[in-house]
Amino acid sequence: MTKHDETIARQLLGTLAQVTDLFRNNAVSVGRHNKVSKTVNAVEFIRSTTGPMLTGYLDAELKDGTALSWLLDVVWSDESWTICARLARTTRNGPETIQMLPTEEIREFDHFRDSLLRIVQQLLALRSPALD
Amino acid sequence: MAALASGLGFSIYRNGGSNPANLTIRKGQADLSFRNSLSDPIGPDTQPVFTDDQYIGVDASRLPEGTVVLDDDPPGHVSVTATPGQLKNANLTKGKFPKPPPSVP
Repeated sequence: MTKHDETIARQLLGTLAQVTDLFRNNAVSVGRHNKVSKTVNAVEFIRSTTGPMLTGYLDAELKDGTALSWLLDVVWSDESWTICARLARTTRNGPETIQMLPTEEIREFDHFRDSLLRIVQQLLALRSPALD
Repeated sequence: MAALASGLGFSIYRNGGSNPANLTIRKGQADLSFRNSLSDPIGPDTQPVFTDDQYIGVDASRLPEGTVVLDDDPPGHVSVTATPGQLKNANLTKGKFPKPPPSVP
């Protein structure tokens, strides 16, 4: 591994730490809302049918028994990184999207880091009428 | 209605992602809806199930006995009462449906 590779690895881990902080801080903020009974958040790697992926969520359980979820998915290939983000409401049959940010496909690593932080900030700024 | 025995090693599928809210039984509901295949039910009075572009699959044989019931209502429907933690530990995999081809004008 070259010094350059190590720098990239450190930068990526630093960005993931920032993303984790954003989800955690927003969970505290959303959790203070008087309609919210509980929040759960995580940024984690999981298996998908197309390989590993990064997923982040902030789930807010509301006192009326429904739930809101701020959802982030990042998948990658040798050529690009793809970031999907949306706010959804959960029902017995699964999620219903309330708002979705435009999916972004990024080819350069430096742009990926900046885009990921920007998209996560935009995602966590989304609000549902259920929290009015 | 059939309780699915543990140890058979088969997957069941649910609309959406792996976040705990999607794995939690909602207030007023008795269970979570899964299906025994990646297909929507067909027939009168049925509606598409996989309305999201994502789904999760879990290995039903890794869930506690009695928490997975193939009730076939509608056909292929599986009712699950496992906890989010149990579902996450059941070899959970996330998948995404391919995008439909662009329509030709």
